[in-house]
Parts: sequence; structure tokens; C-alpha cells
Amino acid sequence: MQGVYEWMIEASRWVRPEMLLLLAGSGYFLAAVFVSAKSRSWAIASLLIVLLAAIWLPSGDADFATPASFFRHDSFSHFLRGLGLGLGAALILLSWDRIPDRCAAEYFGCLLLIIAGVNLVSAANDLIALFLALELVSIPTYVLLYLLRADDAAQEATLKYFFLSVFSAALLLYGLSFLYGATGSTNLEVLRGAVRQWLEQESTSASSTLPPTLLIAMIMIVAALGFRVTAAPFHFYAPDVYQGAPLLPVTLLSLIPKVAGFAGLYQIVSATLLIPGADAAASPLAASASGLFWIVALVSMFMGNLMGLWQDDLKRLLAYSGIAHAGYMIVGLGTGCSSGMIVEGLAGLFFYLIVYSAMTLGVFAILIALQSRDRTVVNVDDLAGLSKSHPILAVVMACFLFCLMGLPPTAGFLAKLNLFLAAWNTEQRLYRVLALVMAVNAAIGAWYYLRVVGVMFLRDAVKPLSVRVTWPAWIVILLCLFIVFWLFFQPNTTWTWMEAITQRR
Amino acid sequence: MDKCLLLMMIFAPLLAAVVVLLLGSNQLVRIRQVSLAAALLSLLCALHVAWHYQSATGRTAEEPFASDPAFEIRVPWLSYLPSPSGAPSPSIEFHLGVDGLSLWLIVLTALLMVSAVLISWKSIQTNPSGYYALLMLLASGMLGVFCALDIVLFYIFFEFTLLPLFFLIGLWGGPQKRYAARKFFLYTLAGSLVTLVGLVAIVLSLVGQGQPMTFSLPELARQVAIQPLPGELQQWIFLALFAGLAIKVPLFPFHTWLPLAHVEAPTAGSVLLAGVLLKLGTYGFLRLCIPMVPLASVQIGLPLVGVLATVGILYGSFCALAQTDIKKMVAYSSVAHLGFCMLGLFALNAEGMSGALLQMVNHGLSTGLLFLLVGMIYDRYHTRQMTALGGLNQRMPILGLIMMFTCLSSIGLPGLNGFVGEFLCLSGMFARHPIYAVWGTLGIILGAWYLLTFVMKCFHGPLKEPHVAEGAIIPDMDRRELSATLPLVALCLWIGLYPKPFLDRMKPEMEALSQRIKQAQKVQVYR
Repeated sequence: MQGVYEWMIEASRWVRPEMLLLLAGSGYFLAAVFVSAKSRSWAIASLLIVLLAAIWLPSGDADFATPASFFRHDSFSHFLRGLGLGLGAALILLSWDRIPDRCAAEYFGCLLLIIAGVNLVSAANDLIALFLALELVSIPTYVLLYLLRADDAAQEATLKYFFLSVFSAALLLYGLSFLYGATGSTNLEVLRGAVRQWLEQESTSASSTLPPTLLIAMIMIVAALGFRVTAAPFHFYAPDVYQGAPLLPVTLLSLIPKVAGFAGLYQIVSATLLIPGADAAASPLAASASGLFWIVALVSMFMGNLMGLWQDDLKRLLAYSGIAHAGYMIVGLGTGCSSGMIVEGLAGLFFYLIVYSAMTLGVFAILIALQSRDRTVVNVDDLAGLSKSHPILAVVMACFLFCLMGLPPTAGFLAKLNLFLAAWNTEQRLYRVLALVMAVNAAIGAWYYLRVVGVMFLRDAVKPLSVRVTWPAWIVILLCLFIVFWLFFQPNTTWTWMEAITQRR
Repeated sequence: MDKCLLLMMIFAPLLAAVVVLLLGSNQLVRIRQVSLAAALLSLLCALHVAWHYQSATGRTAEEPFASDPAFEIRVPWLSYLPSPSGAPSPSIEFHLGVDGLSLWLIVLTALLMVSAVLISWKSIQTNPSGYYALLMLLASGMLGVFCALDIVLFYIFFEFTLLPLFFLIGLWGGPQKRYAARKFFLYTLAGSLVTLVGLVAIVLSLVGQGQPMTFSLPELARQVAIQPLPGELQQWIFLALFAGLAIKVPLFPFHTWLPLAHVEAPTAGSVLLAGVLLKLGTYGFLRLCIPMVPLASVQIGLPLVGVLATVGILYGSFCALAQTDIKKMVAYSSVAHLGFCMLGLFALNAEGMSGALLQMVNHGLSTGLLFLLVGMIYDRYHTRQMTALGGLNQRMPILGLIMMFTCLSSIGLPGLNGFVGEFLCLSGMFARHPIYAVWGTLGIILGAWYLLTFVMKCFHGPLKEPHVAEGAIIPDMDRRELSATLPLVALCLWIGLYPKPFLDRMKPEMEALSQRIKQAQKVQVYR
């Protein structure tokens, strides 16, 4: 029998970079009492810590999973931890000197904790670790939402997010408890083994041996994580929260919970549905789950795009755009439930996740860069005449918007194409219909993205913007732009990597 | 050298776009020179391709049916997992090549690009670097569509053409430019996204039948020939492809974006829109629809397109007749002329389809010319109202002469290019379904009516000119304008008098296609 100390050491062996982030983040809170430094100093320190964590990240080839361990590391968590660190670094760069000095330490401390949380979600090998990691993302987010601006709107946004997020955490815990009840263990490997056994029994005996509680667990978990990825019908908070909160936390909110949510969904799906060697399509659970994802994807796409048409507020518009994109990505998740496909839906999902992160981050980075004390950019119309005052920035913004539309030559096109192929490849009539629905939705979505392009290029400003874009913002913007084009012209390396991830488990 | 030829043709304008952007808007002269040089280089490559086409395909007098595309380039681009049966890993490729279907459209595009650059020479003064860069991007996109032999690459270029044109119309267009640009963009995008689903369906349905997965158009056509898709699926795929392509052509009820976009676009934009971009639709039918879903093309394509095209011919002609704005009249005449193309295509025999392909080139030449000439009139008088103009022959005899020639070619006077194309289209359709051909013929008469009325009103009779300042002299066409139009005029004459070289080079493909249709029908009868 292991002692608690050995158990702790064993558990933390796989997650040293995250331990570093956690220690540093907690250290910030303490240091803030004694040290008063500028926002920029905290940002530089955080950036160094994230870099150090990235260097320390174990390589993806090594799969050190021991079945009983609390955490594991393989190519999947390697990819998502890398993505988490990258997004974290970008957010730090964007926040650079925009944080008031009085709360800079807390802000960057929370940010480091959140990054650690995202990474731990993908490294978790245990239901409890998964839940704790997701909470590690949520709790600092509440603080961040309220930290920068404490007016009524921000207060309302924070409260709304807090209550619904706590509710979704409870749902998640409830769902996970059903999984525990069915197997008697919280370990994901044990869960996977149990499902495999049930499936084998199922193929020999006539009656169904899969416990029905699994389906209940699945519904709860999808609802809870659907909240994180803003999938309809769990999206209602998003537009209000986005509108009320300051731009920097909103950027975080539109990226980090999505990555964490999809990582969590993949963890659960890969443990209960995608059992190597077993015919996943034959499992009744997979059929119900893919039906569930079908409905969620359909509703999210329509809800996001149709509501997006009516928005004037840029943050609300991006909230609905995020909902629609969550719908597209869930198409990938749903198609992932059938096996033996040439174009792997889950690989499509991860590819889309990279592209989504790059293009959304790009748009938000530009919006953040355009804010100044005397002139805020709130509505779509505030961007009028951007092509005259900031021609390069306007062109770059247009590239991101065309990428969101899914037009070539941007990676957004390939990301959608892969999902189209995957959806048609399932050979299920329902998913073929969904491919068509995706096409229709991409067309509807084009309308509101094009409106922004039109405002920037085809209209003159009443009062032109006169902001100088700072260099940290430029770095983020240009990196996003690079990814958006690189993944179009050289998709092969990344795609093979994504395929390898989904084949591994 | 031959390997790089197509690359050079497509990417010379792209390179010029970058150079032009770097030059900045102050160096107007340089910008024009660079753009013209790139357009000429593309044209030279295109002519080289056309000249060596027969030898490059390995076709000789003894063996005229070797049907591999010429000047092929294949580079894998995005590879998927190999299918369970152990086939090599399928990939989307950067696959270019030229065959009989695309050869003349490539030449047409390159030729019209030169004219488009020349016609913008003086009329574009605001932000010229942006304008020429977009024009060059558009050229790359259009040439890319015609050269693409990979189904996804085709679609990528197809969609890509929307972007530069959106900005060209939206920024340099007429008074309603913003509305026109947005409508054009969203209308065509909505349709083509559904087309994308159709393309995906073609590729993956063949995989479902146990064929190895491929995205290459020639290989897909081969697979379909061996094992056609089931009938009901073909019909769905046809409808999906139809959604995007019919809007692009445009067929009758989907044409509403066209007059608006044409009228609001700057002259070069209208020339390319009418001359080349509408052909992307008809070319798509020829390249995707008819080879991949031949049975559905006969079963639902023929009645659907037949009716819509015939209605389009008559409706377009009557609308053209009612216009007082010259540009709008030409725009509506495009709806009618594209109707002839579609009738020829869906005659689904070698005669009709080669007529349709020839008519695509013809329409590009004559409507391109019409838009060029209207643009020249507009540059001089700043009006396009027929009521404000009259007797222009006295002022500008050369322009009047070329205008008369162009109108006659557009009407289809024997001896000029329009006649050959329209005759083949209609006689092809007559063999398949006489009713549509008979109604279509009526369109020719209407065409003569509105075009000749226009020439009579504006170029004959007493001189009538708007806003001419005292003592100002309105010049006739200068050398720049002549060099923009005369090559097109020469080509019109050549096709009209001796169309054989043009028809010969598309013949093997057309024979193969009509064979495919016959085979599909035969299988249907057996079932």
C-alpha cells in the first residue's frame, strides 16, 4: 500500500509544467501583498514561466500512462497542453500593459492558474482529476471577469457566469458519479476496460448488458461540458456575459473554456465510446451519443448563426459566432463515434480547434489593439473606415473574417472541408443531412462576417480611429495570421499529427 | 519548361499583385506597367499552351483520342489515412493540367485580362495599387479554376474568385456598389457551399462503392465510367451541384444578382465578370455535372435546364429590350446568351456540347467587347443612357464600326463567331428536344432587335451628346483602346470563318462525354 506522499509524487510526475504554473500563480497572490510592480513586469515574468513550462513539457512520443495513475501523458495531452500554453502566452502578450497596476499580480496569477487548469484537463486520467482541473479553469475565471472593471454590467456578467458555471459543475459531478457507480472506480483506464468487457458480453449474449446509467451519465456530461463550449441549448449566458465583461476576459472566455470543454468531452468519449478492437458503431451507447451530438450540433449551428444576424455589438456577434463554431466542432465529435473512417471526425475536430483558436484570437487581438481611452470599439459600426486609418490591420482583420466564413485560401476552409468529409464518411443519413445543414449555416454565417468586412472597407468613419498598435499585440496578430495561412498551404504535417492523436487511444 | 508553364501562367499575376501592393499607390505608371507585363506573360504562356497542345497530349492524325490532360503537375497537398482495403493514402492534390474542355477558356481568360488592364488605364485614379492587385488576384483565381484537375482545388479557386471581385465592385463600383457587392458575394457563396457538399458526396459515395478514394477529376470520371453511382443518389448530387452552378451561370430565376453586379462594377470588372466568371458556372456543369452524374443530367437536368434556359433566353431578351441603360441591356443580354450555352450543354450530344463550349468563348469575346466599348463611351460622356446619346458615328467612326461588328457577332451573323456557336447549340438541342430549340431560336431574333435598335439609336441619326464643354473635342478610340479591342475582334472573325482548329481540340473530350451519356442511358434501359 502506497503512502500518501508517494502517491502525490507519483501523481505529479506527469504534470511538472503545470505544477510550476500552479506554484507561480499562487506565488503571485502572495507576492502582490509585498511587491508593487508594473503590469508589464508581471507579464514578462508570466511569459517566462509559460516558456519554461513549455520547455519542460514531455515529448508526445513517450506514453507514460500507467493504468492506475492520476494523470497520464500521451500524444493527445501533448497536443492540448501545447495548445493551452500557446493560448496562455498569447493572452499574456495581449494583456501586456493594459492591466491596472493595482490588480496586475492577481490578474496574471489567475491567468497562470487557468492555463494550468486547461492543461490538467487533457492530462487527467481520473474522473476526479478531470473535475478538479475543470474547476481550476472556472474559479479564477470568475475573479478575472470582475477584476478589471467593477461596474454594474461587469457585475451582472460575472454573477450570471458564476451561477450557471456552478450549476454546470454540479451537473458534471452528478454525471461523473454515475460513471463511478457503474464501474466502482474513478480511473479512466478502468472505465475503458469495463466498457470493453460489456461490449464483448453484448456481442455474445442477446440481452443488453450495458448499464443504462451510462447513458444518463453521458447526457449529464454533455450538458455540463456543453456549457463550457457554449453549445446550444446551454449557451444562453454567452452573449450577455460577453457583452458585459471587459474585452480581455472575454477573449479568454471565448477560447480557454472551449479548449478545456472539448478536451474533457474527448476524454469521456474516448473512455466510453471509442474502444480499440471493439466495433464502436455496434455499441448502443455510441449510437445514442452520436444522436445526442447530432441534435446539439444542429441547434448550436442554427442558433449561433441566425441570432448572429441581428447583432450590432461586436462582442455579442462574436459570442454567437462562437456558438456556431462550437456546433461545427461537435459535428466532428459526433462523427467520431463511428469507426473505420478515412477522414477521421475527431482529427477534424482538433484541426478545427487549432484554426478556431487562431482566427478567433486574431479577431479579438485586433479589437483589443484598437481600444484606447478616448475611443472604444463596441459596435460593428465603430469599425467604419478602418481600411483608411489602419489599412494593414483592416486587411488582416478581413483575412480572419474570411477564415471564420470558411473561404479559401484560409485554413477555415480546410477545417470545414474535413468536417464535411467526415460527416459524409459516416454513411449515416442523419450525418449527411448534417453536412448539408453545415453548408447552409456557413452561408448564413457569411452574412454577418461580411457585414463587418463591408463596414471596414466600404464605409467611411464618422470619427476615424487613431490608435497605435503596440508590438505585443502585433506579435499575436501576425502569429495568428501565419497559422491561418500556414495551415491552408501546408496542412499535411498538422493533419497527420491530429490523425495520429486520434489513432493512439 | 513545360512543367512550369501553367504555374507561371497562374502565378505571374499573383506575383504582380504583391509587387503592385509593395509599390504603393503613388507610382501609377509603374503599377500599370507591372500589371500589363504580368497579364502579357500569362497570355504568352496561354498561347504557348494552345500552340503546343496537340503535340503535348500526344494526339496525332492517326490517334486523335488520346485523352490525358496535357502539361500536368501533381503535388500531394493534404493526405488522409489509407482506406481499410490497403490502398495508397488518398490525398487532395495540387493538380493542374489542360484538356480540351479548358484550353480555349484559358486562352480567353488570359486575353481578356490584357484588355481589362488596358481599359482601366486612365479610368482608375483612386487607390490604383489596390485595384490592380485585386485585378491580378482575380486573374490567378480564374486561370486556376480552368487548370485545376483536382476536385477540391477546383472548388478552392472557384471560391477564391469571389474575394477580389467583391472588393473590386464594392470599392470602385457605381452608386449602388455596396449593395451590389454584398448581394453578389452572398448569393454565389450560398449556392457554392451546397455545391461543396455535392462534391464531397461524389468523392465519398465512390469510396462507399469500394473504389479507392481519390480527388483527381480524371480519375473520378474513370471510376464513374466503370461503376456509375445509383440513380437516386445521382439526382441528389445533381441538385446540390446545380444549386451553386446555376446561380453562377446564372439560370433564369437565380439571375437577379447579375444585372446589379454588372452595372455597378467598374468596366474591367464587368468585362471579367461577363467574360470569364459566368463561364465558371457553365464550365462547372461541363466538368463536374455531366461526367460525374450523367444519368441525372439526362433525367432531371434536361427538363429542368431546358425549361429554365429557354425562359431565361426569352426573359433576358425582353428585359434587354426594355432597358435604357446600355450596360444594363448588355447585362440582360448575357442572361439570354448564357441560356443558349446551357441549351447546348444539356443537349448532351457532342454537337451541342462543343457548341456550348464554343459559345462560352464567343460570349466572352463579344460581351467582353460590348462592355469594353460601353466603358469607353462612359469614359467620354459619363452617361450610359441611350436617350442621351445619338449619332455617335459622326464623332467616333472607328468606335461605331467596332460596335456594329460586335453587335453583329453577338447576334450571330453568319461568318462571325456567334453564329457558329449558336447554330451548334441549337442544332444539338434540336436533335435532343426540338421544342426548346424552337423557342430558343426566337431569342436570336429578339437579340437582333434590341442590339440593332441600340446601334441605331446611339450611333446613327442626328448627333446628340450630353455635357460637352464648349470647344472640347471628344476623341475617337486611341491606340490603347484599339489594342484592348482589336485582338478580340480578330479572334471573333477567326472563329466565325474557320472554327475547325477550335472544334478539333475539344472533339475527343466531347465524344467521350456524349459516349458516357449514351452508356448511362443504356444501363438505365436495361434496369
